[in-house]
Amino acid sequence: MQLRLETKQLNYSIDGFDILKGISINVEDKKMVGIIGPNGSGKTTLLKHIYRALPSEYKKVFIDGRDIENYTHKQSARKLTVVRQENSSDFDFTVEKMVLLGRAPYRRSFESYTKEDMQFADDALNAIGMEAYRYRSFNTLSGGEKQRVLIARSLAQQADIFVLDEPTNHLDVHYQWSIMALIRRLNTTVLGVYHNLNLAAQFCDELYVLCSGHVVASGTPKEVLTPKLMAEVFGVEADIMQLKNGRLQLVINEAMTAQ
Amino acid sequence: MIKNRVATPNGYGDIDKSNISSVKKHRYIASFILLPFLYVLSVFLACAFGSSTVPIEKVILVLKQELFGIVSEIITPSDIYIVWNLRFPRALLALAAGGGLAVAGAAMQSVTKNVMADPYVLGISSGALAFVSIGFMIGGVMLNTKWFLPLMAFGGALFALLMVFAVGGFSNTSSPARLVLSGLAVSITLNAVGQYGIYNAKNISSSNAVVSWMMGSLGGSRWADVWIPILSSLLGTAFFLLNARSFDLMTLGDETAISLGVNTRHLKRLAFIVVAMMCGVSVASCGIIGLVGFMVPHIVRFITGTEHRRVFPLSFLVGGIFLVCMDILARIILAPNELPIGILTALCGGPYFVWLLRKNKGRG
Repeated sequence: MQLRLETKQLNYSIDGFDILKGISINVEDKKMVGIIGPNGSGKTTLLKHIYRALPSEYKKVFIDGRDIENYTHKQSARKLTVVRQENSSDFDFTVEKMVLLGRAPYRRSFESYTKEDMQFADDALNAIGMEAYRYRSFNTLSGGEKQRVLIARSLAQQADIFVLDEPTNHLDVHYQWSIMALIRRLNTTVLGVYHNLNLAAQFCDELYVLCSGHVVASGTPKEVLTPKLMAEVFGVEADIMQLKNGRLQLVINEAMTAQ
Repeated sequence: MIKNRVATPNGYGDIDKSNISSVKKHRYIASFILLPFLYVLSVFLACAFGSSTVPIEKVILVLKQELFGIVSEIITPSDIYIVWNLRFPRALLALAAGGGLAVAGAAMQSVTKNVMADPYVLGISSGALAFVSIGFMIGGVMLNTKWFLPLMAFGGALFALLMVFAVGGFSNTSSPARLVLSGLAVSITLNAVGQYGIYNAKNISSSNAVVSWMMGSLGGSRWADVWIPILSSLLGTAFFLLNARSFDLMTLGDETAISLGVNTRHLKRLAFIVVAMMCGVSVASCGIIGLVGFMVPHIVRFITGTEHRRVFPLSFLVGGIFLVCMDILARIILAPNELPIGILTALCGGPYFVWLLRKNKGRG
């Protein structure tokens, strides 16, 4: 299997406090890989290193075997796209302009969009079924609609590694599940951070469990999600059931009291 | 891809909004026909009106004579002096300063993701003022060179920006209120420094001129004074225009901008330097003219949307026209005396600021 994304012994600390301690993860081609862990375990910090929002040391993060620091920002944006939760903004774009911004890595900053760009944006809007929203103002959309538009932007970006920074966290269950299904249908390489463990168990081929900046477990959801790990890492007493369709279902019984 | 009408999804039923993009495009094209016309017209008016009125026909004759060498017998030397030596360079300075401040304001609003940002609100102008007044104190013979005060102002503007940065006004997590408060803190401190400098500058002959400069004034501008401001605002606007789409992306937040290929750290650093240059030079030549950079980008975004390849050039035009008109008002309200123009722009901008604060009450 071809390795698309890789971190090697990634360390990070702020003010002498270690956030990440020797994190090594591998994401293979067309695999959906999830990162789970309790609050403050370093999940989002890890992702931010991968999508360059935090300074990375040399020889720590690799895309397609090449050190990320050897890519320009535009080059890495053609390989890797990020779906985040968009905050509300004072500035407004139409849905179409928002999706077209996905073409920015391919154009100089003063260049007009080409016909090809328009076509990619059209296709992306069609793919998520939001062509009718083209001229709507982005800020007037609901949370789930916004998230779908951002996925369309990532599609227009034509990067085949998706990084998900908890994009569905604030959405209702319908959107949580439908957006993840939409992403799985893309059949592409995905690295995501998940808070909802059932969502992670359902959609990921492989999970990494982070705790206090360490990778404490990794493997398929079945290998990783055990009552023991749930107790040790997440501090809950949980039952893990296997459903008829082979998927795992976590039932949290109670939070364990701190010793 | 151009479809003018698209069915709106049920439940939102806002038919007008479905067309918003093409409406804004038409407005944009219309304003690019209308604004250059107003731009030129405002210069003619600025040459005509003032403590004494020069008829528009004579203004045209003077400009024809001076620009194209078409000699006219009707115009008197005093017409030529008033129009060509006083009012025309003054109008050019207003166009340059207004355009530059408006573009700098639009850029700061994008970088800070905050529509309240403005060179004046962020204390950048106060920083320039403080350093210029220090320049008055320590300048000596250097005051005779044209570059000394603009350079001091540039340094002061940059210093103020770095201070707001250090106070945490620009961090990703900081709220609009925090940004405005950081700017206020920096501005109060540096204003005090500026006033101390002016108070101590014994070598300044006419304190009246200095006071009106502090409050913002285009008076006293001659041909020799306009080239640096014109150059600085044209260069600055060109820089921002070349990076227009990156500034679209910056409004979405640093993380999103990075993930779409913008080296935000690099771009912000450059933007700070260019904003400091534009504001510093403007303060050095015409004092603190507040809130132009705050209001104009709002008007422009309302006309044409957020895309900066439209916002920057339109801001440059609208900002220039706005300041020329304000300057005409400043000259005729108390004629033959002049009102400092900064008072007028603050009188327009202040209430708008209040209105915007009330409108955005819901957000931290």
